[in-house]
Amino acid sequence: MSTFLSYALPGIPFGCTYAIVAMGLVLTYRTTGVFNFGFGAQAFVSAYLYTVLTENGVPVGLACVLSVLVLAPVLGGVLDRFLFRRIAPTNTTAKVVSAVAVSVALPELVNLVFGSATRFAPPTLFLDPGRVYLHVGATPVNGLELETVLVSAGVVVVLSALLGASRLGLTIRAAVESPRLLELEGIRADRVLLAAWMGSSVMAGLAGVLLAPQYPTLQSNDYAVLLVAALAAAALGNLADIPLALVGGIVLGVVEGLAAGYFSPTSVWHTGLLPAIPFLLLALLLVGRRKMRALEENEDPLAGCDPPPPPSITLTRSHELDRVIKVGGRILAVAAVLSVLTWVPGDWGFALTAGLVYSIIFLSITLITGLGGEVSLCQATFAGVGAFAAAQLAVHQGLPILLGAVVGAVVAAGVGAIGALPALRLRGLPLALLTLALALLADNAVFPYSWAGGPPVGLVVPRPVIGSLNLATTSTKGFFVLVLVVLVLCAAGVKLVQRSTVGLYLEALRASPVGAESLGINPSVAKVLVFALSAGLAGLGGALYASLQQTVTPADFNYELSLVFVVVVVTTGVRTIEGAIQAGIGFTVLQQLLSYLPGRWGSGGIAIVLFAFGALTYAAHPEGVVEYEKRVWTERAERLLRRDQPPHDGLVIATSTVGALEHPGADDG
Amino acid sequence: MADDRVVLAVRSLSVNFGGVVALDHVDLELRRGEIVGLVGPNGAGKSTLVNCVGGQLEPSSGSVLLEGIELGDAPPFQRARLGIGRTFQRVALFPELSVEAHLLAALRARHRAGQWSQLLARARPSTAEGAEIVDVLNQLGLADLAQAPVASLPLGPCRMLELGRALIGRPRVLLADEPSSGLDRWEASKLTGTLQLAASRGIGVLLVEHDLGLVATACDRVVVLDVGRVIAQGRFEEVMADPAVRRAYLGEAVA
Ligand SMILES: Nc1ncnc2c1ncn2[C@@H]1O[C@H](COP(=O)(O)OP(=O)(O)OP(=O)(O)O)[C@@H](O)[C@H]1O
Ligand SMILES: [Mg+2]
Repeated sequence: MSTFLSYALPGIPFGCTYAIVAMGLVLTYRTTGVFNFGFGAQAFVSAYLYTVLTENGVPVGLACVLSVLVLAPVLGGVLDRFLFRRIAPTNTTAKVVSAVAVSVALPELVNLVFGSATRFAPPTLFLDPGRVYLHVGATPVNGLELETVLVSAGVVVVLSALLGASRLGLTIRAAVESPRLLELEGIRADRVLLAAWMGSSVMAGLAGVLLAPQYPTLQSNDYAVLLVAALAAAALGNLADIPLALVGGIVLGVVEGLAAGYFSPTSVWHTGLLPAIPFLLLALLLVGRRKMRALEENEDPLAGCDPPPPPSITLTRSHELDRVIKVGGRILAVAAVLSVLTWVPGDWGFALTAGLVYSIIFLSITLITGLGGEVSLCQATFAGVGAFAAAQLAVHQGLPILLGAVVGAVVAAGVGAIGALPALRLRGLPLALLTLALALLADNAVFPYSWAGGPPVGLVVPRPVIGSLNLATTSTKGFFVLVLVVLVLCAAGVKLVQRSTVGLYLEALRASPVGAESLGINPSVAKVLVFALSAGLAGLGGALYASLQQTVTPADFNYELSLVFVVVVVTTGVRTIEGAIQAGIGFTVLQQLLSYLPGRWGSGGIAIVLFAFGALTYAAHPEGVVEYEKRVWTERAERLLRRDQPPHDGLVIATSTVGALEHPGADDG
Repeated sequence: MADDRVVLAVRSLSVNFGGVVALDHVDLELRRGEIVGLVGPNGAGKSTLVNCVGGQLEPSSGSVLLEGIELGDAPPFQRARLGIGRTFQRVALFPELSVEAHLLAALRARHRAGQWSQLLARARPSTAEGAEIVDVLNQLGLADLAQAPVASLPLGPCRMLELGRALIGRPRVLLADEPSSGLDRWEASKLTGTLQLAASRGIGVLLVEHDLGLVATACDRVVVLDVGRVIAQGRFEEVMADPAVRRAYLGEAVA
C-alpha cells in the first residue's frame, strides 16, 4: 500500500495541471465551439514570462500576477477578438487550423523575442519546494506538490461558483448552440464568449506557472505533452463535462505516476508505453465513445446564412488573362529550372530542391484536406514512415534508395489506410485529434526504436544512383532534376484523383455528408482511399527528403512539423496543386532569405511565425491568403483590361440565395 | 407478402428522442407507381419517418422493408443502392459542384457502386450517362443550367435539382420531404409533373407536403400523421373531411 501511495501521489500534482487545462479546454469548447490546441502554447508563454520575470528579480507574487492575471487574459481576449470570433461556427476546418496556427506561432514568437537560451526552473509560488509539509501514509508531500494541489482546488471552487450561478450557466450553454441566436434574444453573446476565452486562458496560464517548477528546464515540448494529457482528460468528459474533465486529469496523472513507478526503468514498457499513455487514452476515447463521434452534429441553426466560399480564381478569370498567366507561369518555371542548373549557387540550389521535396509532401495535404475536407495532423508522421522505411532498407538490405522510396510510399500508404480504419466514423475535430494522437504516439513510442527511426545519431541515407549517374557526386543539380520529375508525376496523379469519380465523391462528401450518402456514396471507401493516397505521397516525399539530407534521425518527423505543414499549406491554398507547390518553394525560399538575417532572426522560426499568421487569416480567406491575393490582383488586372464592363455581376445573386442550402460554408478545406 | 405491388413497408416504427416520442408504432405501405401524401402539422414526425426509411436515423423499434426485404441497420448509402432515393427538407446539395456533376455523382454512386476500377475513371459523363442526365435536366427545366455551380442558383432550381438527383438512375422508392417549399407556381407544376412521371414509371413516391393543393392534385392516397401517430388515411377528400384531421390541423376549437 505504501509503495502504491508513493508512486501514485507524485502523479497528482501533474494530474492537477492536466485537469486545469482540461477544464479550460472544455470551457472554451462549450462556449465558443473552438477546441483550442493553443492552450499548451499559452501555458508555455505564461510560464516563460513568469520565469524571465523571477530571473530578473521581480517578486514572485508580482510575476505571477503579470503572467497569469495580465498576460494570459489579454492573450485570450486578443485571440477571441481578432481570430476565433471571425470564424463561422460550422467551419470546423478553420477552427482547427486557427488553433493549430496559434500553437505553432506562440512558442516560436517567444523564441524570437527572448532568444532560445536555456531557462531553468522558476521558483514556486508560495511554498518551499524543498520542505516536506505533510505525510500521506509514509509518503512525504513537498511544498511544490502541495501548492499545486491547493491552487487547483481553488480554481475548481471559483469555477463551480461561477458556472453554478444558473443564469450565467444557461447563457453559456445557449452561446454554444448558436451565438447568433443568443444575440437575437438580446443577449450580448460576444461578452460571454470573451469572458470564456479570458477565463480559460487564465487557467492555461496558471497551469503553466504551476508546471514550470516541476521540470528542471523550461521547454515548450513539455507543454505540448501537457496539452495532449489535457485533451485526453477532456475527452474523458466528452469534451463537455467539466467535473469529469477534472477527474480525468487527476486520474491520468496518477496512472502515469503508477506506471512510472511499477515499470522498471529499463523495460520496454517504461520507454515505450509510459510516454504514450495520454495519446493512447485519447485515441481509444475518440474511437470508442459514441458521444465523441457525435460532436460534429451540433450545428448552428443560422449557419445557412453564411455565403459559400468563392470559386477559385483560376476557374473564373477571363480567357486572355488565363492564357497570359499560364504562359507566364510556364516561362517562369522553365527559367527557374534552367537557373538552378546553371548559375544559382549551391545553397540556393539545395533550398529549391528541398522546396520541391516539400511540395510533394504538401500535395498529400492537398489530397486529404483540400479534396477530402479533413484536417490531418500527422502528415509528417506519414512522411517519416516513408523516410525510415527507405533508409532502413538502404542501410540494412542495400536496397537502392529510389526503390526504397517507392517501398516507403507503399508502407506509408498502408499505415495511412490502417490509420483511417478507426477514423472511419469520425469527422472534423475528433478526426483531427485522433491524427494528432497518432502523430504523438509515433513520436514517442515507435520512432525512438532503432528498428524504426534508427539510432539517435541518425541513419546515413544514400543519394540515388541511376545507371552510371551518381546523384551524390553531381552536387544537388542531378537530384533537383530527379525530384522535379517525381513532383510532376505526383502532381499529375493528384490532378487525376481530383478529376476522377472518387474526387467527385469526395467533394460531395465534403460539402454535405448526408446528401452524398443518400446517393449511394460509401464514405468509408472514399476516406480510406484518400488517406492511403495521401499517406503514400507523404511517404514518398519523406523518403526523398531523407535522401536529400543524406541523413535521417528519429526526431526529424515530429508532430510539430505536421502542424507546421498544415499551417504552411493552408496559407498558400489547400485546394489547388499550385498551392502546394507554392507552399513548398515559398517555405524554403523564405527560410533561405531569412538566413541572411543576424542571430536568432535568421533561425527560420520567423518563417514559421509568418506562415502561422498567414494561416490565421484562413477564417477570412478559406481559399488561402495567397489564393486570395491572386484573386484581388486578377480582378484588378481584369478591370484594367476592360474598363467598360462591370466585373462579376453573377456573384450578387450568389450571396443572396444561399440561405436555403445546407451549411454551404462548412468544411471547405 | 400479401400484395406484391407493395414496394415499401413500414412496420410498427417508433422513435424516441430522449423523452419525446416522435413516432409511435407507425405502419405504412407504399405500392409501385403510387404517390402517397404524408401530411400533418409541424412536428408530427414526418421528417423523422423519412429519415428512418432513408437510414439517416435509427428507429427505437420497428422495421422498414423494401420489396419485402428487411433493411435492418443498413447505412444510408446501401439503402440508396438498393433503390431508395430521397430529398431533404433542408436542401443538402454540394454548393461548389455544377448541376451536371450532382447528377453524375448520383448516377455513378447508384450504378457503379463497388467497382473499384471506376473510382479513378474520369468524372465526365459517358455518352449513355450524358443522355440520361440530359433527360432529367429537360424534365426538371434545368437544361440551361447544367454547368452552373449550385451556389449561384436560387432555391427553386436547387429543390428541382435535388429531386432530379434522387430520381436519376431509377430508384424504386422516392422520399420527397417538402419539395415544394420555396417554389413558385411554375416550378410547382413542374414538380407535380415530375412526380407523376416518376410514378408512371413504377416508382413509389412518398410525398411529405404542407401544400394541400399539391397533395390533392398529385396524390393517390394520403396518410395523416399527428404527434407521431397515423390518425387517418385514405383518399384526399375523405381524409380531409375527418374531424380528427381537422382538429389536428386547426386546433381543438373545430371539434
Ligand atoms: N434530433 C432530434 N432530437 C430531438 N427531438 C427531435 C429531433 N428531431 C426531431 N425531433 C422532434 O421530433 C418531433 C418530430 O419532428 P419531425 O422533424 O419529424 O417533424 P415534421 O413532421 O417533419 O415537422 P415539420 O413539418 O416542421 O417538418 C418534433 O417534436 C421534433 O421536435
Ligand atoms: Mg419535417
